[in-house]
Amino acid sequence: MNRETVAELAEAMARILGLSLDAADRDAVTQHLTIAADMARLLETLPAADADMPLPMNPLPAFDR
Amino acid sequence: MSATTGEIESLLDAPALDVAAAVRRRRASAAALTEAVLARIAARNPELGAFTEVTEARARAAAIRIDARIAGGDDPGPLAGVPFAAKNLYDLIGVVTRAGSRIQRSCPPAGCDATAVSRLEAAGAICFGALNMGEYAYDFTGENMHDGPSRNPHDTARLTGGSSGGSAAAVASGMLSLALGTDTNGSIRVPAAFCGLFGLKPSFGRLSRAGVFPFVSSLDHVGPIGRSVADLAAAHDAMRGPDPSDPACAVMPVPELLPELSQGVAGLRIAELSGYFAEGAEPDALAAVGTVARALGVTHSVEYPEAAAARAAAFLITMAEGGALHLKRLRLRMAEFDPAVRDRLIAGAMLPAAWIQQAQIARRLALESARKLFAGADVLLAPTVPCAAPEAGATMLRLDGTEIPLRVLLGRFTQPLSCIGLPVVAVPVWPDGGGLPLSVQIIAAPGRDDHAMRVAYALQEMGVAHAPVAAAGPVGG
Repeated sequence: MNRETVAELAEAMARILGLSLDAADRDAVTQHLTIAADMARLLETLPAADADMPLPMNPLPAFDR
Repeated sequence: MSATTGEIESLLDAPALDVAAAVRRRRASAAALTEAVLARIAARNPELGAFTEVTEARARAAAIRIDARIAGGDDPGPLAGVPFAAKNLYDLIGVVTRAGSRIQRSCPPAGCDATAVSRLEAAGAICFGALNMGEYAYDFTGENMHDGPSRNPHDTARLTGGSSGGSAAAVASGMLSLALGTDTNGSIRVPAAFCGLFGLKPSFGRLSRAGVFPFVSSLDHVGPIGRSVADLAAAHDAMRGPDPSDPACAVMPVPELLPELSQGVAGLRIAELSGYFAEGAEPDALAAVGTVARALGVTHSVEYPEAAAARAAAFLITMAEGGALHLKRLRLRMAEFDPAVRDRLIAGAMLPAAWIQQAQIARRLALESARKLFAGADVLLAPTVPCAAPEAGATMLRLDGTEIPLRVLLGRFTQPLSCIGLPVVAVPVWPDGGGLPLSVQIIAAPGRDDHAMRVAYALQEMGVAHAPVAAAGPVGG
């Protein structure tokens, strides 16, 4: 994804969320979003990642329950 | 109760259970131990930055109560007189829960103790205060721009690891016998590793998080850091049990770990994790796993193919839940955050919901895959950290000729496991010929904390894993 596109998205999202970003914040947030996008792409490599499955709010049960 | 100063000092370097035994058998008074602990804190904390608040009056009052109970013929509990403290994410009555932040300092002091703290005290342990940590627990370094860094007692020029950096520094330096940390993505295991200590991240839902400031509620765990496996077991046993104040806390009784340790490793099927867990680290960090595997006679390895996806899921869920938790504070008091934490939280608040849903699906798939692995093995071995403690202030690590951001790298081996709530004991392994400690994760199936602890205990008994108190003086300046 183009970095400038991500930066523009960050700027717009910040306004929606009621946050004000200076230039340094915008750069850093853009970098973190770019890493997050890489992580999200990694999830798509899982077999069955797009399965329609029931999912509780927290998929991690308390194991001793 | 006539222990000499030298005997008291030796006790404070010994495991917590030795301290408790000495107090219970009247070989040392809790009051004398408490004064010695306070003297150590006064001497060592200014350099190490482990404590953010020392609760002297509370400690002295607890010691008097314990000594009075013993004098009256009562049993003060299995941890009688054991000095401990809690990461400043835990509520301590009368103390402001900083959560490593500047913002929380304007909140009123806690009105009661966190469940884990009150249960340790009920077992006779003595609380000495609140410990330094990374801001809002979003940290692997142990550095804090508001309180200053915690420093590694084995080399004060090195990172303690985080976010429970003060907890590890206090125990590794001998100021405390035990400390409480929290582990969302590795925040008990990473500092335990860098400071040469044992750390227990129990199964998700085993120990109550009530009274602990949250970070990522679906990933947060509490647990102890100590210098012996038996100490971790005793602390776990004191803290275990249902607690309706934490909705994730198991309602079923949690079995004790301490009686299980002596069972040894006979009958346990142990395997080394290969693939993802055998790359992306310095050679010494990977070699530590080999050392442990050889000591245990492990010849079998297995692969956990979902590891990278599990880590990615943890990464995204952490960003999103953390961002949502702090959104109001970001709106109102943005300038008071550490920028390194703030910008990750802001980005987290912006993540598409579809990514988070996908991360939750990945998490569930990863857990199901791990359960299949545990059908063929009881315990798995993996590195805890990709390197020994880096120099303070380091931001990048060179691996295989590539510069990698340190904050991202340090959770490589811990995140895939806490993401699915597995019990893990981090055990310290020291390289041949000296140097800084490394660490190996002993991983068990959900709810089988006993398996991981039995293996960790065996390694300690064999001398493969050990956690000495660091020399009082700085090594690295």
